[in-house]
Amino acid sequence: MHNDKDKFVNIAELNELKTEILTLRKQLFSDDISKTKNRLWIYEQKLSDNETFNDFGFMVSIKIANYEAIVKEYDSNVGNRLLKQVSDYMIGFMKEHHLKHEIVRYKDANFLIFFHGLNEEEVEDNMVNMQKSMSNYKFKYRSRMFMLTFSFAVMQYIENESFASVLDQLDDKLFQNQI
Amino acid sequence: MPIRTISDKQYKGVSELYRKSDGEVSGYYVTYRDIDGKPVKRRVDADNRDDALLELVDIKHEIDVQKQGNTMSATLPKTIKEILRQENKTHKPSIVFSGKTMQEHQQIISAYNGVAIVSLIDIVAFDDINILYGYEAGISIVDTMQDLIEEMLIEMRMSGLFSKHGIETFSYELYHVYADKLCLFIKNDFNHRLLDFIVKQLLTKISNHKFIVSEDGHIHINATVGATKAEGSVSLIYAEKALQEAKKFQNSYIFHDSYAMEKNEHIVNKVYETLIANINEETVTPYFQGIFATADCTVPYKFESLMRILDNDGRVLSPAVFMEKSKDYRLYTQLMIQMIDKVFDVMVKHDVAVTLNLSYIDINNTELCDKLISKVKKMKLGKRLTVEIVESEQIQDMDMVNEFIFALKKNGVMIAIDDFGSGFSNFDTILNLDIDYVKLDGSLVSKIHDKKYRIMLESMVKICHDLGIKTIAEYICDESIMEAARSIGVDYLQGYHLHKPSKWDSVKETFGFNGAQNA
Repeated sequence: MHNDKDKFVNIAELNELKTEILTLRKQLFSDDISKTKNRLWIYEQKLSDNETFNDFGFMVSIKIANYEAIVKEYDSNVGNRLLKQVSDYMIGFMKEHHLKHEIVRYKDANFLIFFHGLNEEEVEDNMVNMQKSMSNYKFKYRSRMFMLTFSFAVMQYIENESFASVLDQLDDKLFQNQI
Repeated sequence: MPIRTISDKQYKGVSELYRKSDGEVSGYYVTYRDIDGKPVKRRVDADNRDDALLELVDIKHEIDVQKQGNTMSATLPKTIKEILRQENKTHKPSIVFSGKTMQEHQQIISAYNGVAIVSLIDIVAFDDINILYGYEAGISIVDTMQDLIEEMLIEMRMSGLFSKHGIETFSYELYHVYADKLCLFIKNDFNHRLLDFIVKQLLTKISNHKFIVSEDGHIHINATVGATKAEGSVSLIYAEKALQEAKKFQNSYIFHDSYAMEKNEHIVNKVYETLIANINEETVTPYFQGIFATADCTVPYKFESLMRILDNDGRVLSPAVFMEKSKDYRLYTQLMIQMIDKVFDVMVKHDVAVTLNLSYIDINNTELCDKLISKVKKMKLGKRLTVEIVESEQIQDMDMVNEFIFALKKNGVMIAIDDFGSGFSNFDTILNLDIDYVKLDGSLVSKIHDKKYRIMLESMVKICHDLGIKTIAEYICDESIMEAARSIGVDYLQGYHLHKPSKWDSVKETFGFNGAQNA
């Protein structure tokens, strides 16, 4: 009887520990200013040890237009708030359109989105719709109003393909696609 | 020699001393209140009206300083007269109260070469003031506002606010652009925080001021400000947008950023071109999403028709991209007329039951409503049509909407209310309108696994049933939500899990020729 009680306590403790580990894991892979994942998540979860993809799909690179000018004018606090609002907008859009995705803030105002279960045309269509609908949206921070947009580039990736190589190609495409 | 008062309001407090013999002005008097509040009239050493006005400003400033205590005077910067005398004449603050039109002001501001601040100051509920106190009182309030703005800028300048921020000289103009709107055009690249400070001070000054409307008393008013810092060519438009946004959300002040606007407008302009092209080329495309009876989710009971348009590359654009813009550009009705025609075509050719979304804007549009009713009558399609009233929170005239509803019902059309339970789409709406279906809001349905939401949705379904209204649950995006919706007694289901919106050709492929059972 006594042993059963001990066992029960141990299972409860283990469950608690499991929850804590999951929370810590979530925190470890979360971006510090938005509700997206962080760069570490890519290297730890998305890539194998040799920095190649461990799955397949489409990777989209997104750059928020004029972000540097905004930070220069209003400071990084305003910039960070806007990045959070923009990423919330993008997450909301993808949720509304039932898009299976993972979103990462890679650096500054550069986000990466990984799409699964869509073909290239569907990814492009969804990104164009996201870009155009966001251009109508008024982001607000305190009494300031911002109308933002972004450039994007799409690229398919397959298992064992080098992440750095796909990212380089995306950077080239992003440069060409710049608004 | 007699003294003549100057009628121009800009020179309030300055009088001219003139020779009766030849009418020539030979000197100037200024009128002010001394430290004890007693009126004083005194001659000043001035060559012209402007000099006399500057003398008066300096006198008033000295009195203010005395009132506040002598210790401050040591720390105060040079007086405005001294500042102005030292400044280059082109930098002298100029205040222009002109009778120019908005277009003329726009031309002046647009011609400005460089970054400038434009603030539009709008008096809240100015129409009420005109109606209650008369137009003269309204004009007097605008005049006083002009004085307040001018005074405040001079006070700020004298307190060293601008020099503290590295702005030694700048010029500004103040226009009275509409009945209740003033435009402060500052020809300087101010820091946005300094502008925020100025605007907040101004709003406080205005709301604290006692505006005289009659001999008996005064009133307090509030203002709304929309501002921007941008190139002259676009600054007035951005300030208008900021003011519009502030008024829409009842904010006292909105500042419109301009740094990301050029690229944003590049995209937005493309949306406008797309709207025009879809109207001209008649490419508005209805998409259809199945609505299923809870008991049988294999074949749709009816279809909701959803508007889509195509961009230059033939991509399908969702309503989030174009719907609000089409309303802003006043192009929405043209899109909707095409949509009605195309939905009716599908109903006729394929014997299906369809719901058509109409907003309060549509119901208010006589041409569109007449067209819809005559089409229903002529084609005898009423029994297969459900009109879904969207954004019902915007309904202001229930009687007018009910008239429209009854005109449709006489022809067999059913009525549904969209997004029930969110915002202001509530029980009041369903009690006041004669409706057949209620669509439970998707944001509530998506949280159905949360006990509180489940209880609320279950109660809503029960109340609707007691009132003889059938319920539809939107946002059925997975099996678990579908089962939960079924378990609370919802009559119909709709969502991506059951059917993704698609063109009619694709619907035909999925469900066969006559998909809907209610045909």
